[in-house]
Amino acid sequence: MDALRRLYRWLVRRLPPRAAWTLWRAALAAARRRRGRVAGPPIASAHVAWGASEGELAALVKRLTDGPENDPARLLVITDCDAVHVAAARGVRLEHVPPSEEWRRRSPDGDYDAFLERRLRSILASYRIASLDLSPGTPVSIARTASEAGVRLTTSG
Amino acid sequence: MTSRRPAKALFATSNGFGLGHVTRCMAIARRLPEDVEPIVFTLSEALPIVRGQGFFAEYFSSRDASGESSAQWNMRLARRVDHLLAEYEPAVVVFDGTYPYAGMLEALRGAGVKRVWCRRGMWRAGEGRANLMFEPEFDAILQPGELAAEEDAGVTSGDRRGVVRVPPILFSDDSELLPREQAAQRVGVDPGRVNVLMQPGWENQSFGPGARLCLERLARDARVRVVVAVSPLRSRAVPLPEEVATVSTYPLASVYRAFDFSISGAGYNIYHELIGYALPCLLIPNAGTPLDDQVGRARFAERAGAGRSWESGREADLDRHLAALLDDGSRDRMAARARELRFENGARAAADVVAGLADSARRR
Repeated sequence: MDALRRLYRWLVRRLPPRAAWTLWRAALAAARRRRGRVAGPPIASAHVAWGASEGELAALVKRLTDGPENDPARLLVITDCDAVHVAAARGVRLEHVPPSEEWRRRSPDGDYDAFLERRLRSILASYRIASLDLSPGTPVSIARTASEAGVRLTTSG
Repeated sequence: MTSRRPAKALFATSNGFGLGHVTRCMAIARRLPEDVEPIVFTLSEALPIVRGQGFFAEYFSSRDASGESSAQWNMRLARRVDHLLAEYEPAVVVFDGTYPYAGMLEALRGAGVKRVWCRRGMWRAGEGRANLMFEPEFDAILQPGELAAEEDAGVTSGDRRGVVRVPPILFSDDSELLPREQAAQRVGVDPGRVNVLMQPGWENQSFGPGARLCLERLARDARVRVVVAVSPLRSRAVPLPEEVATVSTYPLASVYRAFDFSISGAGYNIYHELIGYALPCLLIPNAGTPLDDQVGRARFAERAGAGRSWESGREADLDRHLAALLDDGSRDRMAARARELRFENGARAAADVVAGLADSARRR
């Protein structure tokens, strides 16, 4: 597969744009056929940090990366905290969800809980997550959606 | 009279080293008519800055931050873009970056939205030709203007079919800059001194020997007060010499009038701000970026008389440039030349293009 990928990259750099695009389209079609088979990254430990401040998010990320399961690529944090650099700096996977007040400001008549359900379903489809640790204040819609998807819920307080 | 439901324009920005992509998107977004609602979807950690400017924003971690394979990351990205299209139902998606992501393109294909590729020019000669293969994936290609276009030897230069060119895009209009007294107060400098703004270009990720040499030389002139711009992106924080004064505000150009000249990198946004707002400058181009021809830009500024370019790294050249910039008359002449090069802010024309596409999508 690596050799094929190298050949593909070599070709698209040299072909005229139109021919390169045709090749790219073929590669994309192959990737699409494979899409269902490309497993999302396996997650060893997934956590919700809802309503966390930057300091709280940083403390969680530090605790996780200092812990026994410290491969950051297998750690996932789902948060509504905007300090996204905190997780990126330590290589921890992060899924950000717009916080309720921002979302409601844009969509005063919308149903934020329904939005959370849809977002969480999309996140759960992207990873292999067995369990999810919930922070205090995690919206019920998140817990319910995860539970319905067969994810084991824990709370570490 | 019936009020129309606002059409939505989703601005998708790549990560990049600094704030260039996200700033360009916001420059366009803030000039959209009221009946087009912008939503910013960014891979940059500049999320709080985007929110601070009043935009609703969505974030997706860049591949650099995720450590996963390209296929896995693009699959997740495609899923997220699918989700955003379903949630927000944008009429137009504007991607600002030099390399559109496969996952994003896959999700956009057949989604019934107008797709715009906002792609600045001035690519380094011979670089990035493969990127052009993505042009057929877009309904329009928007090319922000380059003041140094005559130096542009890259693959996006010249007449290209289907490319809409607008003047250089700036976040702020000239009228939005604070007057000198107010700007000086905001920065914490004396407006009566020779104030120098150092913004070395955060893609360098270090305050290098050249920048330190500038500080050392400027310290010899008692009139001078140097302020170093600190990137508002936390991960781009670089260690600075002790006791150096700093400024970190967004947009930084809002306080440009506090300064008499700037020592800067020559990335797209900084460059066009400096010339556009007629702030004399010493440009230290980064010759090591993958695509951006900063050297070409800096040479043009020097040839046009609107700035100086320090490419050589030689101390004697630096002394010569600083002597010119520390001379009031010479600085005035640079500012006057920059004013002669003045251009209309292309952000409004770009917003018109986006709004037009949103409108045509709404009519369907």
